[in-house]
Amino acid sequence: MSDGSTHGGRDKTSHGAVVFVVGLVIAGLVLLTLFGSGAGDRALDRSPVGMRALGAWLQQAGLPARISHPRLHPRVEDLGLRVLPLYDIDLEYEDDPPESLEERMNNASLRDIDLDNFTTKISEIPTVVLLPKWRGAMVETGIAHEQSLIPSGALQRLKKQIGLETAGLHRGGPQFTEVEVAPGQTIALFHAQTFTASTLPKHCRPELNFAGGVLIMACDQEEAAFPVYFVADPDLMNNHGLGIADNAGFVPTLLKRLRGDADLPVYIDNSPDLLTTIERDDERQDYSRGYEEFARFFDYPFTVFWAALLMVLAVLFWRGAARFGPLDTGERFAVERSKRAAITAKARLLRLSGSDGRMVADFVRSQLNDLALRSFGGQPTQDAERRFLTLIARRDPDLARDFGALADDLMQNAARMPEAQLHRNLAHYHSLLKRVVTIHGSV
Amino acid sequence: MRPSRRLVALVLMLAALTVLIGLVRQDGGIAASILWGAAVLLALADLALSPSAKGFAVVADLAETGFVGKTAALSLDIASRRGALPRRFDLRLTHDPGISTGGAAIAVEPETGSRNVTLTVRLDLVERGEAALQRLSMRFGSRLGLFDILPRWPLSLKIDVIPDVAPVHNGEIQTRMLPLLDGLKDMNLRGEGSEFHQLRDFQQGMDPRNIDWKRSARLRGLVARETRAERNHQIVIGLDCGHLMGERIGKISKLDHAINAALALTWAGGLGGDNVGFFSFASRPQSFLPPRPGRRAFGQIQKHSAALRQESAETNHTLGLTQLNSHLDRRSLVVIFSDFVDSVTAELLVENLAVMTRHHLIHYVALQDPELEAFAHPDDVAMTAVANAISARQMLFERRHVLDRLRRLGVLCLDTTPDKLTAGLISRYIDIKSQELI
Repeated sequence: MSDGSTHGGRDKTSHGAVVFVVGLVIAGLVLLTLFGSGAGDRALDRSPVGMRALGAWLQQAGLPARISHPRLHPRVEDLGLRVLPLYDIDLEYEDDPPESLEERMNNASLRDIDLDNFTTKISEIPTVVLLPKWRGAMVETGIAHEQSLIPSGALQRLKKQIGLETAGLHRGGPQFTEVEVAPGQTIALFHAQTFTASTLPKHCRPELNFAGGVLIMACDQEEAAFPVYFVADPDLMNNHGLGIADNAGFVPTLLKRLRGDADLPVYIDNSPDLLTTIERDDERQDYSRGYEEFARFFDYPFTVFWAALLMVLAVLFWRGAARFGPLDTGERFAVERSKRAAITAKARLLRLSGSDGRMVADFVRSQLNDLALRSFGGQPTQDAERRFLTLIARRDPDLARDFGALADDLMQNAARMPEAQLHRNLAHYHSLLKRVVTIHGSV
Repeated sequence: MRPSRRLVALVLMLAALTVLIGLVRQDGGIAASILWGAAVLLALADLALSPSAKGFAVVADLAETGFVGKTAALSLDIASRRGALPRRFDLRLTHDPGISTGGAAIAVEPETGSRNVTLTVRLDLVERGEAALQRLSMRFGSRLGLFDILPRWPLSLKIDVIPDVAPVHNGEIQTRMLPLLDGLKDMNLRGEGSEFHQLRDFQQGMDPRNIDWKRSARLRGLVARETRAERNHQIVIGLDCGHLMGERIGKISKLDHAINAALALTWAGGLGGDNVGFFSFASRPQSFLPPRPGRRAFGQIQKHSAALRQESAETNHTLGLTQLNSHLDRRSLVVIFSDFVDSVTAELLVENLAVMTRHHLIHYVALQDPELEAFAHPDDVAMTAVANAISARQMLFERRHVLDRLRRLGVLCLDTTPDKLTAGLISRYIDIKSQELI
């Protein structure tokens, strides 16, 4: 039987497991932070139909640009123009996420956006809306094939929802259509998608013609004083299109013109959510709070997260509920620790008073008094220290001289010594004291 | 039974894996369920393979009485009803505050394959009175280490912890009193009040002044008077039971040290032919046992002191010592066991002892705290240690100052460590008797 020893190996194993588990948890949290919110969205932004390159390109061209981030909420007043690519062919219907590769290839709604959000976005600031053109196959394969196009008829519902019901769409064949938009500056589009010029709605006017059609048109809004610009072919500005012909050179010029004179950044809004904020007065704001938002916490994958959390809590509570042996309250040791606490508290006050020098002088004086008392007995007298040093000098004159000089220096001058010197002298005094004690006996 | 650290780690790992699965896979619910199901099966298999908590029998035995400050042996016989004992298990005892086991679990490693183990646990007896062992708890790991199995057994063992009268039983007091008992010391002392004991034939080396000439003439041979210390003096022990006496020095409190020394003095007083009384006080005066001779006083004081408890309130020295003074109708040796913190709080103590010392011989007994001395004489000179030393020295200085005041008032003082208390007190008693100070 051995008393109360713990086994180191067992503890090491436990520590290793704890470190491993903590590492796993941290890794899980990092993954959750980096990829947990919309890994698919990022893949879309990086794909040929994404808008990731536009921001960098505008910055390089000297046009300030901001890219939307789910955790950043810029003020609307700080933005000049919004570029809003649409990847949804029905703004009133939320598609189920595709599960198989085939479903992802055929998917025409790559990113669902709510009609209310869309309406709010275009009414906040002047907005350039890019109509959808490609299906998911373009994202998955990266090949601009004819079969990857969204059928023109499938866009009819979208046009109706965004107020372009009468606008006809014309789509070119499988070749690049090139148009010189400025002297020496040509833009090119593959399977060019344009509005039919004769069918533009009454509140819209052509902004940029392209090969007999209208590539960009400006439409007035009832709710806002500024127009909304619809770009028929998103390839003009997406990752795939910016690399073609002089598209990349033309787009900054175009956006600068649409933005106007205000030197505000272009906001590339890749998010279906309303990320921008509006400076409001202190007026009452009503929000619609439906239980659907809350219900999302009980859909997969949160269900497995909650289940795992419950299991962990159950095991931890179980372990905490059963105790081995009695409680150790530690109360009965309070009385015997009181004197120690009083001494340490008083010592702490002494340290806080900042009188280390005088404290050391007092300490040295009392130690010498103790030595003298043990040597001569009786009450300590004025010359007890001198008598004691004389006694030591009979046995070791050099030690008595050094010890006496240093002790006297500390008693007289410790209060004025710099801290480093005080520590040094005190350490030296202690080493000499040990030699004195060796000769004379303990203090 | 409870989950072990290993199972907790496993569950946390599974939780982390579940989070990963939820993030990576679109339909990870089944995979997560398989993982958790496997873990549950593993835990069930571990339980099935491990010994049950009910598969052990324990026989425990403990002495009925023990001295405070000493140890008592608890004998444990642990047997497995089915199969061998676990290779390693820990034990813990649930007990009253009067017993201490050091707090740590007792690790036991029986021989491999053995079905029973006998062991002896030393229990420190730290408080007087009846102390009970309520429960024995055991802990061992399951076969796969996923569970801590925690069997426990009620014990209902009791031990009477009494003041330490070992110096009385083993003859130590008797031995220390021998110089007084055989009269040798007294014979060499001169003074009034020495009690005549007997006549002896004068031997070479005896003091000629002790020769009783009148009887020598009558007997026609030299005879000497042999004296002995006066008997039937009155000794009263005053015991402070205030909160300062609850301070623990070593294993036991100052009060217990004082009671042990008081009982030794009582026995010595009985041997010396004196009458011994007892008085205890704290915030209010407590009981007074009138002086009685010999073993009767010892038995009464032993029984009475076993029930004494220190109070949490401050001692009222004025009330206690005035009450004691009123009980004393003849000059007595009054031995006061008490304590103080500084010169201010000791002021009333000093004043009241000064009043008592006019009619009685006062012996004040205080206990030094070795920890205070250790603070005052540090081994290193770090600033914190120096500050602690200054603080402790101030306490020691005030203590010395109070004791000096008492000595100047004619009070005998004994300020010593607990291990030297009994011997120092008996020695001082012998000196008082031989010098006939009472």
